[in-house]
Amino acid sequence: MTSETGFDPKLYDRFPTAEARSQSEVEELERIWAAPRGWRRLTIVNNNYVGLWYVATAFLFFLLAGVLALVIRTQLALPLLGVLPQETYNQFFTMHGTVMMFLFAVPMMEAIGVMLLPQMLAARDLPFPRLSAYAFWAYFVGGLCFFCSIFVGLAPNGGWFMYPPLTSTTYSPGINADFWLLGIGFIEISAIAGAIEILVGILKTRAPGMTLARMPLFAWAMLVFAGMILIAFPAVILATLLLELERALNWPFFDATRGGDPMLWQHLFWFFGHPEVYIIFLPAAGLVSMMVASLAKTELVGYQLIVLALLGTGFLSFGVWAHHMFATGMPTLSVGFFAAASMSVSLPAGIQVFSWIATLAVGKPSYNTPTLFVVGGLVTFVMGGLTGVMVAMVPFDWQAHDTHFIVAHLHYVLIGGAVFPVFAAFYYWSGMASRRRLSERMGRWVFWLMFAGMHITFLPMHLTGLMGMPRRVYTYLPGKDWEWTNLLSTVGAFILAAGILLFLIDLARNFRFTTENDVGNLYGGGTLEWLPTGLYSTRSIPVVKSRQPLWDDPKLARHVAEGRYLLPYSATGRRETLITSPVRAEPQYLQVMVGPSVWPFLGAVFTAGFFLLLTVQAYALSIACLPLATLSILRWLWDTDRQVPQKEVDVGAGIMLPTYVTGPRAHGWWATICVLVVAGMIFLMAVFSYLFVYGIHPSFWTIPTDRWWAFPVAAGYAAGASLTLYGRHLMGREGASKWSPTAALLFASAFIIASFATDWFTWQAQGFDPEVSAQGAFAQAMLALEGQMIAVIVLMAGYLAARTASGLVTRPRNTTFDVVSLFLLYTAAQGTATAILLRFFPASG
Amino acid sequence: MRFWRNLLDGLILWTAHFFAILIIASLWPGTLLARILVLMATILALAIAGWHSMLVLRNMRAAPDDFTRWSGGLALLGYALAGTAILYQGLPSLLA
Repeated sequence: MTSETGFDPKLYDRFPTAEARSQSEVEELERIWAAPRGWRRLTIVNNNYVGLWYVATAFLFFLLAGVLALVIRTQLALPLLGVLPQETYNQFFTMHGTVMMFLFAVPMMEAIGVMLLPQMLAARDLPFPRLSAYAFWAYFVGGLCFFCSIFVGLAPNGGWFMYPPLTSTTYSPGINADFWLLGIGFIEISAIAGAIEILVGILKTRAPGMTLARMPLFAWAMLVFAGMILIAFPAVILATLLLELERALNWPFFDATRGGDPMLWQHLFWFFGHPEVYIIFLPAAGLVSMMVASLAKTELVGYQLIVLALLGTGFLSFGVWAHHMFATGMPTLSVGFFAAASMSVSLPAGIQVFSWIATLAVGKPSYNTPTLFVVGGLVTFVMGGLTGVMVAMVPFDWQAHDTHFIVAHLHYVLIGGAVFPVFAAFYYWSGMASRRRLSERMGRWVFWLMFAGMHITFLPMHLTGLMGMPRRVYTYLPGKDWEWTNLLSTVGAFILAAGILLFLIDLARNFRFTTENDVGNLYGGGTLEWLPTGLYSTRSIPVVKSRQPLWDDPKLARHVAEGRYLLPYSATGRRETLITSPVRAEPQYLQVMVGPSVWPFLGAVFTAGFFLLLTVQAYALSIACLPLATLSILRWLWDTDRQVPQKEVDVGAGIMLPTYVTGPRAHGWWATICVLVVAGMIFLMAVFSYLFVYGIHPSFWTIPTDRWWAFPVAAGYAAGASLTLYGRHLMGREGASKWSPTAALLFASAFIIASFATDWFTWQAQGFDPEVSAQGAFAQAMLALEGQMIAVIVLMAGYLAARTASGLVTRPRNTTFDVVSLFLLYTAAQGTATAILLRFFPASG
Repeated sequence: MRFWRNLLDGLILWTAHFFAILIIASLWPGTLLARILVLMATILALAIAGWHSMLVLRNMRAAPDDFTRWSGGLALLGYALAGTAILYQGLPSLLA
């Protein structure tokens, strides 16, 4: 067998080991992984707790947004009803869409990932447990504050996609739009933090032998999901930043009268917005792929094809954003490409649907609640997919655009593709976290009420739309034949709500959270999450030899619980997990993990405080939160990247692994690359925006005069990058002093900061006023983006110096040093590109 | 990284083709030149997809283990999906 890392796969034959293991090892694991109690629960970082809180919070937002939907439907039940005033109605539908998309759908998928993935991969925890806690608390605090804006009439009211010029200060002068822009921008940061955790976790913490060909499909789906978040979310972060700058400082990014363009918002928003639909659908599809095999009691048909479908959807979904813009008058040929891509993306979706149908056909599915939700979701999603192909056809889209037909289509796709699978997952996996099983009888009622309610609501809505009723209107006149279909939709909404209410009653009666005495594998699943677990996950980490290890090796659960596989104890007396290679999951090293801490919680609270107080224009308090958030995060990081006395440890059966590595083998290196991908995408989107606006309105642009300044600026950045590389070289040299590599990086930082300062001041001397033209505004914004990276560099330089002074920057390798080096190199590259772009585009008048 | 590149080559090719034809259509909107360039880009992309598929197929035959064969098969399917999407996206240049 070929090896990825030099690890000898024959070593796997040593497992399961023969000798009996001591009970004291389990007690030590329990002690090390124990969760704090009382008020100290706020410091918990274990995935079991954080995952459950995350799921519960996402579900709370689902309920809150659902209540808004009920009020909306009540208002539309009959013509000229006055349940809601017009302005409040605008806030309700904006918050319904925003909360469902940003506070329920994406966080719910991340939450399920945080909860299930460690057990599914047989890891002790995800590799950055404090990051999970930070992502959760930021989402929890930020989300609740954001939602509360509706109680004081300050909720956003411009639709969930917030198109300018409607959301510009001219037409939205209050702070409602700012709540959306700052609130959502902040919540996206939490989503990205979660995505990094999940991506690195899947690639680096799988059980040995769990090659990519044996990886559970939910993990595959979450891998693609996390990758898509890193690529897609920067677009909306940039868009919200630009619109907020326009509103706060009068910089005309989207104002056509000063050289900006409102279409830019649509491109940026939908470059995020359409992949977002697949970001929601893919994890749900992964859950269905896992469940359908167990429920049909057979191997999944077409595992490889489903992996292809997940990857294919991940790529193709980035080529369909402009199908939301068919009515904007884009060039015909471009429209044709987007229509073709929109139809092409139905190929991978179809592959998955046919695989699930085939699995159900060849297996023996039981008539139980998760099966009902899976099949119901499948039927609903296919119906939504078919109307999706209809609206991918441009002439049809022109007719249906902005009508209730689109509302019906998107709800079919999202409820069938995500909500029903999530409910199936609640029933299927609740046995992992509850002492009692949910009621099967009530579950069937829940399903039929939800299924019937969903179709009674949205099937007639297609007709309402085809009869011409536009979206986002708070009432309508009688005599348009819209009364009956609207009334039916409202009745259906309440039936759907009754199903959800019944589910809540079932939860209250039967769900009892536990980390140890759960009811277990209710539906006969064959993957590793059904191994017996405690807060430390599995007693020992198994060697995986197939896709359904519990089906193929009936003794596996017992052997794992008896500690006959890897890491049956704590090798260092601390929290730890096995890090494996990304492709073939070969053991690489033992990650020593950090435990509970209050700092991620405080960091999240102060970060949320900064953004939310900025929204309500409490500037002094907001600015005070910024250093507090920074200090909290730095304090949490201070505990990480520590070496333990044991350089190598026995992880079982005499297999020795190092306890510290750096470079591309290290999980920290992968996370840093993810962060830089996000930064790179934000920059790339900024470059696109700059060129797009120039291409639309070249007459507003003038050629910069002192172009030659680009060269000394670029030379300064190059010097900074060279010094960084020299510092890395010094790090590996035995003769170098303790401070010399760090000093090289500090000098590199100084060069980079000086280059940025030169770029900034020489550009200001050109006299481009950011309030006068889009060119000036974009130039200022791009310099500000670079300035943000410079601020990070300043923090990092200080942090590295402090760690060096404390003797924490170990030689010849150190992760903190690697991370700072990578940031310096990236910042130098981005700074050079910014200087050249601003001064050489436009090239001629 | 090489493994990932091999695995995703087909889909990366689709991405390159998609953005190339989009840029062409944006630079020369509504012109015959744009349609000809899109057609050429499509033929080129399909040729690359075909050629690489043959290489992947040859490597699969010499694969040392099941996993290499599996990942080769996945790469091949990626080319098939990308090829179909590329062909479909090239059609508007003939029809528009």
